[in-house]
Amino acid sequence: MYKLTVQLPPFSPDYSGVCSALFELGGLLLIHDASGCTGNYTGYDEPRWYGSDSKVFCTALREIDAVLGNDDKLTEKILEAMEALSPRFVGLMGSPVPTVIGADLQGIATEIESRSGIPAFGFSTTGLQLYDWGISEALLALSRRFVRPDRAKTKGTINLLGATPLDFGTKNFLPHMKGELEARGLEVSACFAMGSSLDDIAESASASVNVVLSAGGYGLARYLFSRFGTPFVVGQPLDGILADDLCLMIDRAERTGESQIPGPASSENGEVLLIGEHVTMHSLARRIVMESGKTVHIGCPFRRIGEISGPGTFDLPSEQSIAESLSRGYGSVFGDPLYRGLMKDGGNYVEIPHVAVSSKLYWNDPSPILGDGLSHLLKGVVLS
Amino acid sequence: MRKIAVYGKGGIGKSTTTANLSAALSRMGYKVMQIGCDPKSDSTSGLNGGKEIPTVLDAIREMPDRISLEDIVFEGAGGVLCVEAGGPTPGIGCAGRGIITAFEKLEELNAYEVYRPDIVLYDVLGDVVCGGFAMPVRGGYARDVFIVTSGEKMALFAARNIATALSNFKNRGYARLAGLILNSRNVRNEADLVKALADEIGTSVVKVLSRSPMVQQAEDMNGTVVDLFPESSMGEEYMDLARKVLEGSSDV
Repeated sequence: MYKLTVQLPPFSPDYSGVCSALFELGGLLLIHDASGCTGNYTGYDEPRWYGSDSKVFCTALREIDAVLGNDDKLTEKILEAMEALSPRFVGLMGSPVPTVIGADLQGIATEIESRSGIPAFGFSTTGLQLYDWGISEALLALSRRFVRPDRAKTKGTINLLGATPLDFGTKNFLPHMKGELEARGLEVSACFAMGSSLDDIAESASASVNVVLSAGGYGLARYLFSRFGTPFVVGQPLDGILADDLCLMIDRAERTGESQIPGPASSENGEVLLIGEHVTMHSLARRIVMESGKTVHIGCPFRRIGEISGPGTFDLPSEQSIAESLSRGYGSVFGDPLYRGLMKDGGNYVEIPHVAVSSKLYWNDPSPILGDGLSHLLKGVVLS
Repeated sequence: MRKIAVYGKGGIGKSTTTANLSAALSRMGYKVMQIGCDPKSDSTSGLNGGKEIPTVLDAIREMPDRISLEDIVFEGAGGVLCVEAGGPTPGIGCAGRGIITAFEKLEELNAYEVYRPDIVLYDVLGDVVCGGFAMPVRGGYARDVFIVTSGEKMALFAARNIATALSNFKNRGYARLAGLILNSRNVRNEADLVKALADEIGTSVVKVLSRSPMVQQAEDMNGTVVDLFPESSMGEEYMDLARKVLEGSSDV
């Protein structure tokens, strides 16, 4: 019962993470469900859905299909849809019912691929895990299959890993970070996976360094390092200062061939609490420390990267644990607006909307932690 | 690593055959892991002095967040690593889903990487009745399937169903049927009947095991024929079965 969610909505699940990561790449994406999970993704987790021509579908799983194990019906429907839509690949995702009946989505995908000749991926999403796991699995599957190995590395080119609207929305966040890096002479080879095509991704082994923008991109960075020897750095260029800092790491990674993972930004005693996606909060923490010298705690409701965790970085696996952390009397707290409702006492609270938490409530709002706005924000809140 | 599933009708002697096969392979110098995939959880009792070991689902039930491999993998006779998937509370829950959950837990704990067995034997309940009982033959698990049968009508029927299921899944990269093991019940024309089935489903009879009172005697003594009566003719038959299974299977 300790994981019971009373005030917060359910966070974006694994199948939303897979769909979000693959949305722009021309694949046929199918959530194996009765329709609720697909509706959850398209209605609440995908700002790009309305007006798009992306091929995301529900398989319309019915009770009798689950009872009888009508996988053939599913396979035929998918093959028929492929005929009509000519996708570049197929992604088949599970939801709670296929999980309970033990549907073998990888097996079904193998069958679809062997019959159609089109790459097909089965993802063992359950609807019970979180979105970042789905992003990670989707990006790994994509890279294992499509990235061409025989590409020479080009100096000054980078890939951005782990970019989806679930962490960055669709407004200014990603364009701003990309702009900060490009303004410093770097060229983005591929962004996994917003604003890049499947062909860009196929050519991405030419990048000399990978930049991990979110925890969902960390597994991919490790894979690309082991597969192609491409070093990676971890961090977000939220403003000019962090962009300079990140570019130094990129330069060092390019010269040495060794990944540059920044040290922990949190410390045992915390005056400021940051709750959210780990790479975002780690970058923000570094900036707060630089700006104010204040000590920071980072709470992670989602995937935590061990290598950048400090003594003041901890998991927040439940609403109860988030509420408890908010009651510890921090001078300032940064996090999604919905966490604020769990604070018993008032206090400095900086709202940083996170689509995976608050869905469409704020997804049209620009992020407040970018560029000069970040410095003003920190001066106004943390130093006040 | 070689991953092999043993299927067959309930009561046909799968667990007895599998335990003796494990013991024989272990005697040949292989590191063997036997995974019982039956809610009865008695696949490995012959390797554990007749005792039933705690199951994976028991461990999940009792300490869901604190399970380690030591809680679910036990060394039996001859050093065979024994695991029982276990089952739900009788009368409720879902046994097939239980098998999946148990397999997922073994994966999560990196059981195969930690113990690095040469051979993994999955002893699977009766028939491929649902998705859960097909789990051992899915991609990433067993590569070869042996079906234990006798010449009895229901045993042949079950064997045919299992072979049909494997054939239906051939486009999914599932395990392949590697052969039949005839566990003799001394039915009239038994060898011919089983041979006819093998021909029909496109496989062969890899070994005929005699009907021997020694098997029952070893069970009464809570052990395997291979461990208790290694010099006996039945012990030699199981050793020969092990050789045939090795010849008929391949590494994953």
